Amino acid sequence: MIDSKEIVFLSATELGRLIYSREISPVEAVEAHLRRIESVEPRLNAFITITADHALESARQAEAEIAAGIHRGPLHGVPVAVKDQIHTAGILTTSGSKFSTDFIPSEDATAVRNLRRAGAVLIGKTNMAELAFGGPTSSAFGVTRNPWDLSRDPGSSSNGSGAATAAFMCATSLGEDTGGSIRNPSAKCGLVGLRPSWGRVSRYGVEPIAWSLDTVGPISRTVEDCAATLGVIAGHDPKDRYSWHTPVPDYQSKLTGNVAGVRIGIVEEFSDPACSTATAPVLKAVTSAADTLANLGAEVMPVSLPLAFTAGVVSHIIIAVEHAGLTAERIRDRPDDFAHSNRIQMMTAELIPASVYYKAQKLREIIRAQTLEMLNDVDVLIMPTASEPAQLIEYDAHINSSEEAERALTDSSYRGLFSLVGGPALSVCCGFTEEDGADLPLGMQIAGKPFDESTVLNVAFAYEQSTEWRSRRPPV
Amino acid sequence: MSSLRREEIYSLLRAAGLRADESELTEVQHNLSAILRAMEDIDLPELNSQEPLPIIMPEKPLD
Repeated sequence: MIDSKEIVFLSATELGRLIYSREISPVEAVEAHLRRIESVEPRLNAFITITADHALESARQAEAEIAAGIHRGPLHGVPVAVKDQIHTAGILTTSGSKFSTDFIPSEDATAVRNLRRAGAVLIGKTNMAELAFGGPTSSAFGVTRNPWDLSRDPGSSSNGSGAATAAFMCATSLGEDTGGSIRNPSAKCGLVGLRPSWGRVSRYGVEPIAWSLDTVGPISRTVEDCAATLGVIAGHDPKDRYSWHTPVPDYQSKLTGNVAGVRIGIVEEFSDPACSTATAPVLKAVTSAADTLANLGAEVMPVSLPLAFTAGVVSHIIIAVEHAGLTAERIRDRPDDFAHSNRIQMMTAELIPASVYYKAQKLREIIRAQTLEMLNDVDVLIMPTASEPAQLIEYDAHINSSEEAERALTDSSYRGLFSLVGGPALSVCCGFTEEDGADLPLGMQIAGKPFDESTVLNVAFAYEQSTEWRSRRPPV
Repeated sequence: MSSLRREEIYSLLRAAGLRADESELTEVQHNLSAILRAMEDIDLPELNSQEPLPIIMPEKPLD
């Protein structure tokens, strides 16, 4: 018998198994999560909409189905949160923006439809950076705080999905990653977040940021939860012409934890203190994680991607220009309805010369070819997800110099690289560092060949199972 | 081009139908300068012959 107070601390897949075996009812699971939300949400502001009535109704339906012997899979009856950029039929979908404060879609995004078909229970829509492009304080619905330290940013732009999952307000969640928006909050909240291969998950019904880079993926507390969530949402969708007819493996069954002989390249540019911009605790944690993988039998070797640090500016230009194309009327007609940081980025994007955008597109292909060639020699690449842990929230942030702006572009290279490559990239917690009395999680990124999510997930699983990081709970 | 002056930024914004106050103008100048400088610093011989490809095309559709 599980204590009802402990239900929220189960992983999504553990909870799903206990629901399937009827040791926990979906209604109990939803009620436990709603109590948890009531308790911690006022401090975090992770949600824009909490769908309590809807969740209870879905849970009762799941309960009846399971009682009748119908089982829809590992997330049947499990409470899930969804980033507010992703359409949900009949439920407010704001993209964290003043432009969409009353937008109620008539149709689910395909990823949400797939979740519902799998019996998952939508418990709420999560807060996010404005239009998934603004800074950490840009949401029109207030700032989301990091459960590990309330004075810190949980990482953009899927801020709310990160905070809600880390604080046990949902069992797993969906985010959207264009230049790093799943991996960044996952690293800064101590979670497992996967940017899938471009084309692996339908983007239909997802408010676009940059069409050629947008992806939908899971933010979870364990690798198994991440694999199960991906398995539910992945697959071809005729409504998204760039979702591929590639079979979706049973990702959970491929989590063997065996990495003997797996070739792992540690990217020197991001991981070697001689050239990396990451802080010493980040580099130490990633090096230690590489040693752990080597001790598990993997062949870990240093590799060089000379253009790695150009990925930040290249991905930023592509995202900014594509995003500006979507917001051209808004920035002219209602500039004051953008958050300050977003307004600056939008105006800058409008002035980027076409020749520079064209050069960025050429560089994208060169960077991608260089990285994919490297992936002929190794199975996965590892590197820090971010150069530093969660930072203090800056409520009135400004760009004070071009050097400061350039540093931000360089920093986004850690995640921008694999946005450009188009293959899967996952962040897994690889340790903690103490800053001002707070224990802050650190993330290691594991990236692989396009459509080889299974190998990426299995390397992450092997590492996760050999460490205790996932057992830590934030103090909220 | 990476050292665009404030007046130039102001004119470009006006031409694009955008308005910015003084402090915003400064931030756009910093931001755009950083982008242009970073791109100017990337000088690869293969850029001339490289064709841009914005997305990954499937090698072989499965159905």
